[in-house]
Amino acid sequence: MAVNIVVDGQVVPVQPDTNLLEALLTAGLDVPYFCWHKALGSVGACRQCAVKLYKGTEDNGHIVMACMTPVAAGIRVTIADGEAAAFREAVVEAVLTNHPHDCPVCEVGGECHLQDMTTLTGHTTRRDRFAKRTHLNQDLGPFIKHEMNRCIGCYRCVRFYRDYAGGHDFGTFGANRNVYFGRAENGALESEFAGNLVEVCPTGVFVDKPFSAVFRRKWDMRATPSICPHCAVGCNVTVQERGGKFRRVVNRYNETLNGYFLCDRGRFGMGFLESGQRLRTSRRGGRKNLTHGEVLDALAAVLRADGVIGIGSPRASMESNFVLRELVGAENFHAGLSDYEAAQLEAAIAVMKAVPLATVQDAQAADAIVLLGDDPLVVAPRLALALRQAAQRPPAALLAARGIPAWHDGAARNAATGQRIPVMIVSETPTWLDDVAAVVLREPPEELAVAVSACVAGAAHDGQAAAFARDLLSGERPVVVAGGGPALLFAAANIVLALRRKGVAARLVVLLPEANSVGLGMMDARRLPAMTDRPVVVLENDLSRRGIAFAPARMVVLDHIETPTTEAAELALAIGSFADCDGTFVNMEGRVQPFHKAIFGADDPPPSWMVLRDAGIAAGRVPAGIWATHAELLDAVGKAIPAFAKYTWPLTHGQAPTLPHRFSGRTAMDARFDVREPAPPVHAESPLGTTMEGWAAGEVAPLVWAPGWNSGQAINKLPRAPADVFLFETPLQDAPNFPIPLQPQPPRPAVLPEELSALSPAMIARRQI
Amino acid sequence: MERPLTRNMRKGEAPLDFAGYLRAGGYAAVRDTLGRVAPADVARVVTESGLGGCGGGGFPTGRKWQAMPSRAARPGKRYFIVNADEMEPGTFKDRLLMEGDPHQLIEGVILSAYAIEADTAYIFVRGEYSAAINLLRKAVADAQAAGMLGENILGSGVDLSIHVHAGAGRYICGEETALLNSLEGRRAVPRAKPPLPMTSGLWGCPTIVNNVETVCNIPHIICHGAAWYRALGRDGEAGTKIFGVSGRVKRPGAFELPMGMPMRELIEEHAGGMKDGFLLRAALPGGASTGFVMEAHIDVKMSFPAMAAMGNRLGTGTAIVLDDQTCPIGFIANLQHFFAQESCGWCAPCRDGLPWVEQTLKAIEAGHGEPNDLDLLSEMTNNLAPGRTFCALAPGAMASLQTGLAFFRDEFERHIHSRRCSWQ
Repeated sequence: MAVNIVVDGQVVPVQPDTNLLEALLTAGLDVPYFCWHKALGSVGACRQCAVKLYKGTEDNGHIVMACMTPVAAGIRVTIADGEAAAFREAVVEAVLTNHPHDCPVCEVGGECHLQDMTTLTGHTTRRDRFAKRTHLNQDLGPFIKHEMNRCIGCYRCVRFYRDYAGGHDFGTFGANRNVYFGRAENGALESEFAGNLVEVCPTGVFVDKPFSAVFRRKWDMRATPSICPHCAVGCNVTVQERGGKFRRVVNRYNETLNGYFLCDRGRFGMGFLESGQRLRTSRRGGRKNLTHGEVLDALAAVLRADGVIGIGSPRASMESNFVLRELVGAENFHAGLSDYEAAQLEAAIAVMKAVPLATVQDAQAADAIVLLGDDPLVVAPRLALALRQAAQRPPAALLAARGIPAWHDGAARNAATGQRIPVMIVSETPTWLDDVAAVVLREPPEELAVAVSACVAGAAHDGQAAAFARDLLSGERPVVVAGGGPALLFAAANIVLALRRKGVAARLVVLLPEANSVGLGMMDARRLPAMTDRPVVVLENDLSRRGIAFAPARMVVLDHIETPTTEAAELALAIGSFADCDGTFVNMEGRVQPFHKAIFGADDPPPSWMVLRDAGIAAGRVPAGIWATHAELLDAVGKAIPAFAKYTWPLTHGQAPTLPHRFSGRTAMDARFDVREPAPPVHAESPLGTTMEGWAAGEVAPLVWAPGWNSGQAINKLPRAPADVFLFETPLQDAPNFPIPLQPQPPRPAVLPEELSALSPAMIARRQI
Repeated sequence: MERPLTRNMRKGEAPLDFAGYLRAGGYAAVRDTLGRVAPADVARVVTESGLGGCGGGGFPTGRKWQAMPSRAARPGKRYFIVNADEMEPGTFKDRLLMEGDPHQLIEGVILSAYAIEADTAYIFVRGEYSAAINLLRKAVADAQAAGMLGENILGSGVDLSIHVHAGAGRYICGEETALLNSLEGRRAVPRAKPPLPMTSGLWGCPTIVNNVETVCNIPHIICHGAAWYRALGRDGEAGTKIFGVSGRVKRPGAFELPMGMPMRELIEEHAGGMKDGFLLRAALPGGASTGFVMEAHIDVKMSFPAMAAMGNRLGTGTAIVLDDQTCPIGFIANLQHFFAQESCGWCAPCRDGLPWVEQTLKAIEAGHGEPNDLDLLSEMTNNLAPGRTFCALAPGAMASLQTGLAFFRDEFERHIHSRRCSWQ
């Protein structure tokens, strides 16, 4: 229920239980701030959000920090008041006494929160005539460039790194104006989430280092909404390019998924796009640089063979997997997974259809957690960060009893000293969340999981299982996280089902490894035969990496990277990566998410589904004219996979511009070759255009930008995005328990670094440290 | 005149040991109170005594204790903490009390902790006070050995352990919530209030933080009663206070005197007046965070309300004297250097504003002042006012500057126009 407050004489409805700053920003009003962050809460350090608050009608008002002031019905405030405005300007002026005037050579210039806030306060002229304090910078490793002179001491970096993300190797040093944010000594930041420093810093202290090397201004880069391809969480990102060259990826806010933060694998793994390991041209044996026509002919020739086998991939799009399956027939379509992975995926899909799943933000809101098997930090890093928030969230009842608002970060953390929600971990190897767990058991999790579900159902048991069951039953929103083989996934599902039968709104997270694992799982793919004498078409999959000893006589591989599998192929066909074409992934929450062509180069390879479709038509496998458009193809997917039918391609009325409103140099950047206006690339069928022109009906927002708000903080000024589509929204009612397989399960292959990000130069450099 | 706080101190003699303190009537209040008087009644007597916080705030001590949630409302751990991080420039009263009679403080802690029903107490001592730290550690050990501390004190069923913690050397640790952070092993930056420490303090538990001098008063109030204590003061003020004077006076030092005595009497009689050849120009009544009292106004009473009435603060009650042969701008610049250095770095206006103030004052003092500098300094006193910065450090720093700009305006202008300091 909204309450009304009075702001500068106007009645403004705001949400209760928030602070005044958040309320004013949400209402579309401009109040400058530095230390506040929606995800980090309020600490009142920067004193920038001063407004005047009145008590009663006769009061002359006094200055308060909006971020530290609880919203209450009927309060009267003024932002415009001269005294408050003068103080806000004075605060910016004070912090700028130590901020260098290096905006023209700073990577953050033009998307700098400090610039925006300075402008907002109206401060224009320097009065300070004394020497600025200076610092030595540190080498923080291959991801982050350190430029401490720019620091304005908002403390967001340490609050994110230590308090939020649980890092230990970065902190605050010194005092007074010499306060320093860095490490005890030079060295790579150890946190898996260090890259977020780039986005939480309100200015240019922490800069994306790989981006810095290929830097362009925010307004000079094409921005395209996309999905991170480096794990099954599917964080929403914005990919930025200029001149056909990948520049960087930044977080794209999704309220129920990644929120404000990405992991370093997602952010710095994107360097694979510019890796020397990319498969840029197609080849047949020793013959390289096949033309598009030659590619289609060669592929069609293979597809004509009887019983041709198709091998799909958990990192290829829904569209590509589907088209391959349609061309070879479902009985010849294989998942391209090791026995372990295939068994895991089949069990996961069975479980996901029957058990309510938690989104990442559901997991973050959990009030009891049981973590079984794999370390989420390795399999699904962003989920691990969410689970850490759940684990260290001050209990709501305790805060209510003390009258401390949840957004009052310091007080809430202090009040909750030593009090955490129950987190119980059963894993054979250490996990990243062990330090916030109440119980950690270093043992295979299956047996305990079975016992816990029995205890929840009412079986008598002494020992840990009963304690786990008690904690889960006393929760309102417990979450069970499971990563492992079928026995574990079924046992974990049974815990959730048992809790549901007891009226507890429990949810499940199934850890899966790859961007479209779930999408592939929906394809009803067969397991791989040990060997075959039939020709094989491999879609975006390195079989050797999965430990699959499979050497067919004739093998065609479509991929965008060079792998041992492409090297062994008779025909290696270059197709587009997730950044070169449009497509759809389904993440481990069952969330269906489109990605879009983000990079427009000279000879971009086509999406694999298009190559397959055209070759399939040429081979007579499918009729001419089939799947003529992306939308038609998705319709076909929906017909074949009913759960997918509710998803439609996000076509808007017109195409949204992907070049920012201030994009410059369009006609000049290639003038050394040709001074004529270049023709814009054509990208029909997408909700996103390729130019500065166009109009979006609001469904896709390529850019986070608002008037006066040029940094990522503009997110606080934008309307919320529409809800996503989930495949498994309606779990089966009264699902019976899953039987736990007793036969020995396939051996688990060694866990390797994620395939694509492993090719990124920054990730390679980081691993070598 | 009674001097309860310093009654056991003899010039040139070591402080009383446990046996000596006992012989002098010490720990009688502990024996008579623990388990015999209800904790709430102890707090009530302290409230009635009129004792105010001697760290500089002057807030009624008993009322602070009574505002703590009851044991029934908040079961679990609660803490009593002595703020002995005396770093206010010109202030040396707590040092005198700790070095002169350490058991008096220990006795005060036992009674205070009993009143708030805490079983753990910390004495957070300024790290440089090594003599006091050693004396207190010995006093705690001796009291513990005699059954005055530990479990079931004197058979009363009351437990208390006292930990003497040596601070690591930041002025801000004197701010009670920064002290709590430091004690927890965190950076010494203040916490946002509310919540106050009495509801959410050390490790989130109800906590009372009192100054050394405040706590030293408790045994005497308990022994002799509130009425006796009130009668110690002058002109309606309660108790005695350790006042001090530093600067060019004949007898600088600390003196236990009735609360409410005039500043003139303190400087002219007890501190012996100005040294020959020096004239009194002004004084900061209670440390570097208080404003100037000009010579013409030194008949003001040394009390919290009297100082507040003239827009000033009593602070710690240890005055710093400005004579006629010291440049007031240099004097203020020196103070601002201290505050700029001791800013914890947490909030922006203090962290970046104070160095600007310091540099501007030093430029004026060095003959590089500019006409707009006085407007800037004046603005700064406004920007670093209470409620605008995170804690009271910067507003305290502005007290001397704000009064200095009012009272020494002509000196500032002369420095700027003549481009030099006339004292150099």
